[in-house]
Amino acid sequence: MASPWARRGGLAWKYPFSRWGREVVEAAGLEISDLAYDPLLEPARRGARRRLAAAVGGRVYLGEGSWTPEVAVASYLTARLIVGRISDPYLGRLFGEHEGKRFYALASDEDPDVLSSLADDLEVDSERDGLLWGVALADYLPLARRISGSRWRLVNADVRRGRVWVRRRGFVRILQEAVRDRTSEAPDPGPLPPPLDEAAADVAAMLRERSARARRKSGAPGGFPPCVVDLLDRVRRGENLSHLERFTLAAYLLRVGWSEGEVIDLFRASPDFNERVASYQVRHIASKGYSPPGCERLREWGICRADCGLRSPLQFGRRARKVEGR
Amino acid sequence: MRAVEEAFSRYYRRHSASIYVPEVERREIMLMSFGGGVLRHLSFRSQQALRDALVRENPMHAYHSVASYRNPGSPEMREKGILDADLLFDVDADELPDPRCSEGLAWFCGDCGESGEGPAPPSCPGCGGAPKTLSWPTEGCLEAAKEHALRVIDAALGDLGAERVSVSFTGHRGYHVAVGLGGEKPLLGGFERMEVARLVSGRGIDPSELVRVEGSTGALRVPTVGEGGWRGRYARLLRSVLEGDPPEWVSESEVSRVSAIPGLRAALSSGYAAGPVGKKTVELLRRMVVELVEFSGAVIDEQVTGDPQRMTRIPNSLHGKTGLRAVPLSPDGIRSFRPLRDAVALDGEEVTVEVRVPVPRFRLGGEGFGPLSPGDSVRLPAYAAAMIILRGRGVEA
Repeated sequence: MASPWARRGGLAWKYPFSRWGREVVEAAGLEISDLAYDPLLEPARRGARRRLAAAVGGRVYLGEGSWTPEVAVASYLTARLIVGRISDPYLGRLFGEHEGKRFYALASDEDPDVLSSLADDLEVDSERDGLLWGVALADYLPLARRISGSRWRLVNADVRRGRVWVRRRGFVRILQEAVRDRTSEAPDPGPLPPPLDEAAADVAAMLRERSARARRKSGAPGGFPPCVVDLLDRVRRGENLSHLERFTLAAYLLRVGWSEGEVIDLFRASPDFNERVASYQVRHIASKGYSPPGCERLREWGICRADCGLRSPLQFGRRARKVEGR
Repeated sequence: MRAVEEAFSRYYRRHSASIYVPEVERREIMLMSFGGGVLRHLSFRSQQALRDALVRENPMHAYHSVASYRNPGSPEMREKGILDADLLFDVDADELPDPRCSEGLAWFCGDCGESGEGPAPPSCPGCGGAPKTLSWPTEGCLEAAKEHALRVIDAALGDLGAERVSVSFTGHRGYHVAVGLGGEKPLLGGFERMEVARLVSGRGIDPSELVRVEGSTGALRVPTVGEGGWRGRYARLLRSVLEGDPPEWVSESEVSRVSAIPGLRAALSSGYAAGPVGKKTVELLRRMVVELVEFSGAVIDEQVTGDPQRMTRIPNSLHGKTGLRAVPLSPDGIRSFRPLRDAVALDGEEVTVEVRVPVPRFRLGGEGFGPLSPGDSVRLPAYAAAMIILRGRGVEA
């Protein structure tokens, strides 16, 4: 039987952003100089780099089982300092995405009381009733907004007494969004001690590499219509596109000759990029030979950016290429 | 219009004490004059200041913001500083697919003055111009609007767990329901508010989310009766079918197929899987989801709910298209409310009206009037004369 303290330590390990993490920081009196120089925190500095590499690479790094609560929390804090120092909103989004996914992986089978307590900590108003959690509408709506799938839309949900009632997995998924919100914005701590500054430089380089990789996949002959240019821009800036926007972009690019691999690589810039899902969807669009939606549809969906006087975005490429060929 | 304006003015002078806007100092006020002028971004420190303004301006229409603002009088939206905004649900009889709402229609051609009963023909038989259809508020149509307002109220009190629900008759063709959710975080985002609107209307419901089938086994998953929102409503619909007491729109074939689903009763009460079921049954169950929304969803203008900066009528102010009063009601009071009897506000001073467009037989304030034909010249109490003149069917002699 683990002692209560060990359990609390375990919670700090899993949820360093929470009050359990803050308790460890206070008990250990961690300061920036400790994070930079304390030899016992070397694993934390290594962990921070791996955490950020995973975030930039679109993977999830849970941490090491050998970490003490102090090291676990220090790893998170160090990574967060670096994110704050680099002050690139794109990196912030990637880090938030990473911490959200890490949370989901670790919290999915969590003790119900701990989940309720985490919700309080994340300022998500929730109430437990047997196997269900009721999340107040004012918290549910902005958090569920970013989750795709019709079960998350209010009209299909179990809504009673101003709360949306979800099972454990659903509740953890909602909290994941709250974790993302809490972790995707970090204040700039100002100049960092040299060891952390070096780590920041490495992370900035990885970030540039990722953006460049995404950018290289552009440049088609004849140029793109304004709607596609806008979608490409936004993907490269690391915005999460809606399902319809992704479909439009993927179908268009495949039609003008991009390979499946190139299209998948492009979406790597999205904070919520998932290799398996993206490649399945891109392959599906390619195998069915779907065309991108017509201009009228795009106008309806709010994807259209300019009135090019065409019926399909595909005509834009063709027209321009024809002119070029003359 | 002089006589109508005077009747409005008499009303505001005598009854301004009944004007009350909650948290008036935080609301933006908008007044529209008989001449067509609009005064926006007004703000008042007290109820009395607002009442004085209504007496002074004698507006044709008077609105207040649903939102409360830090600086309601600022002309710049950004500087207003929104603090909170009730969810406003707009039930408009014009949007209802109800036959009672096409009663009393007439048309009028502005070019030659020709008119007739019913909806406007494509072109004017007199001059070939484009005539306009004129609606008329009828008891039946307003009753239909009330049914939809009651659906909104039910959803607000049950699903949304509203802390505050206030209903009002707009004074024309419908009802406004304003809902305060309470809590510390205001719900101001357009997407979030539209989600709530769609919960109330049922638009965008996904039948395959409510009726799920496990591919390999054909096991059926349906919502349970204790759930809220459309899930619970749907489960209770299926239970009513099993109990032999379905609503009248459920067809014989639906009853027989639903009754034949093995284990459905237990599934509806406890969430166990039912079935297995075939494709036909699944299709039918999903079609019933759509039908349920059609027959019991509230028809509302979702854009209104989505926008936290909307205006609603100042309680007990007058509607410039009817002369009726915008009447604040309690969620229960609406049941016995009869707009054409209870919302009459103008006095009985006589006005002579020359009729231009056919006027159906109508009742106002318990009195019967009409029918009237073009060319008729009649002396009517101000409240009835105002209705005819403001609906564009006659002019002051």
